[in-house]
Amino acid sequence: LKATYSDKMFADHSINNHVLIRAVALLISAVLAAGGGWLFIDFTAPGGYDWLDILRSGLIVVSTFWLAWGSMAGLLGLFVLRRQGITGDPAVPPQGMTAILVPIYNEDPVATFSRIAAMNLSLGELGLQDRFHIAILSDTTSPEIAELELVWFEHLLREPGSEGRIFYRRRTKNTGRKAGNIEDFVVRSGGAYDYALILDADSLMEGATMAEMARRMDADPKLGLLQTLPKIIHARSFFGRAMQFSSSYLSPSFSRGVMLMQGDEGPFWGHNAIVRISAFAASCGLPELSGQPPSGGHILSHDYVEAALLTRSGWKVHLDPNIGGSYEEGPENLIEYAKRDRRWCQGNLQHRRLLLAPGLRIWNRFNFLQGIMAYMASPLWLMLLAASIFAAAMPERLTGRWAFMRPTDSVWGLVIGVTLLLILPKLLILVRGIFDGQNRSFGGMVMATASVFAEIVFSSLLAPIMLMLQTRAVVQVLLGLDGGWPATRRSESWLDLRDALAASWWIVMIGAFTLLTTLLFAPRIGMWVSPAVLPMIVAPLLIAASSRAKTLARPHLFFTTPLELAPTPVMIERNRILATWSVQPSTEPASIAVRNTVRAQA
Amino acid sequence: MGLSVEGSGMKHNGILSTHSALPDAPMAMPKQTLERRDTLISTLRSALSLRSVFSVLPWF
Repeated sequence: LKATYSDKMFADHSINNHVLIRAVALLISAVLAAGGGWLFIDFTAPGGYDWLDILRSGLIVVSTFWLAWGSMAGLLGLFVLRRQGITGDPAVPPQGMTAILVPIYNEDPVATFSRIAAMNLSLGELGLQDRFHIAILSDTTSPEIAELELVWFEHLLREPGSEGRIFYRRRTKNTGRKAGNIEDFVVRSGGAYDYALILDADSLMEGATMAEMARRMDADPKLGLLQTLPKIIHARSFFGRAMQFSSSYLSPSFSRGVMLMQGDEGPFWGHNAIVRISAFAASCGLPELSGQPPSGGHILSHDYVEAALLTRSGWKVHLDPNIGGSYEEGPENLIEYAKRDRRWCQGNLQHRRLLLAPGLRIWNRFNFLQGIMAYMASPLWLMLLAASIFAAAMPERLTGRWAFMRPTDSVWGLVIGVTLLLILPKLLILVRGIFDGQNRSFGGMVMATASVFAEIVFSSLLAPIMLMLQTRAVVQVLLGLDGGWPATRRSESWLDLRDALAASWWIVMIGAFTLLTTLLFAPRIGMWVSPAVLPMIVAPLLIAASSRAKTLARPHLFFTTPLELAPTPVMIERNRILATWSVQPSTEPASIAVRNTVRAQA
Repeated sequence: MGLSVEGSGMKHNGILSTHSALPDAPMAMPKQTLERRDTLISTLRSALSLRSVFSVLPWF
């Protein structure tokens, strides 16, 4: 089966059919959206139409389109074979010189620098250290953390092969945030390197993966950027492990769908990607947008824009989710997730200013729109919910023809259709996993099935809460409130009920008010509204309970991943280094030599 | 310059290099144009012109 599995159609991602695939995916999404609108119109037909029905039909069409579009990537990915990401001898040195860039911002230095040490050792084991330098680019504003960064940088310099290869510099003024941090490196030192492997503070990569990426850049002089699919690792809480499972089990299929449609206009997700420095420097100098934040000022979601600018200049941008050995860590609870989401929301909505930017490819413009709609969809669904309650509560609809309206085949069809769009790709990935061996590597068929269903239930429960959080983020951005640049807290997961309530009380209030209003004024739609509002009412419980970290000693019922069962060499090495460093005293101040070096280049 | 790392329990070569500054290899990174100076109407008119539509079709 593996040999014949749609091999003829989709085996090679470099096929020139991406335009056709995009067109088909868009057409199917449009047809499904139109079908959703038609089903709703059919449902309301007996009562006649008014402005509320027209509004709701429009909202259903728009929301269903983006829902269907999201599902299309997952469905398309089912038809792509999983391929070996690293081919040939991993120890063959790349021709080009690569700078591994690690931008940091008030991160835990021990956690971050231990990852760097592990990656450095991984390169050393392949004998490739001389082709890779590592630059730690600090934008840290906390003096205490900056001091610790110096201390642990000194530890890092004592690692084998670090001499003259690992650098640290700290900016005192964080112009342009992360994009400005990278730009500062390119302007200052870019001429010394062919490629820059851009990481996040929580990124981890196998040496073989880094070498493979550099060799791919060597092999294709027109390739401007190569993006990997980082898998989440080291999650401990229920929330974190659900995301970790999703990134390992479901995301590859969705990413392979994106790969089918990308052509040479793939995505850049800001980290765990390699860029050709000459192309990046010539094409990706980001201007400040006119006006004040959040709409103007520095471009926040710079990665999408940089991908668009590279393709505008004729460079290829590729995503290859088959390259393994690329990892990141994720938020451990919903509140941390929402903080990051708030930043991304502001960045994505800022892209509305760039939809008509000169010279961009249509596909890149569409990607901007897709990013905007990823957040605008939430207020649209909320408007649909509110309009439906309002319509059901209108006095004139309690009498006459409307009074006899009951759920029909049409409305059931609509509900089932929307549900299928949400869960069908996940279920089909589970079915495919029977045949391609994926389920076996995720703890077996029973564990994989339990995990997929648990993920579906858990994400469905969180969906209304996320809807409220994203709606608030959109409203804040549209009202001109800048979310700033809060540091990400990755290791702290546990939230007690009080913390959770403090962060979500307003969601509870809105949920309770909505349920009460519905039961008082439109009880006949209570059954339809309750799945959306009941999770809102118990939001603090869900947030607190899902932030609990279980000990790894106890077997997990769900969400086991291959990387949990068998950590890779770089993961093992990183854990070893972290354990060693964590018991060492870190209070000894950094040496004068290191201070002088860092001061000289700040 | 040598720096004592005794008792640190780490793998090291015993020498801490002072050569830890970023390479001095400047590169120009010109700012790109992302905002149009045209009005929204003129931009839409230009984007929707027949010539423009036909010229972007192969890119899609």
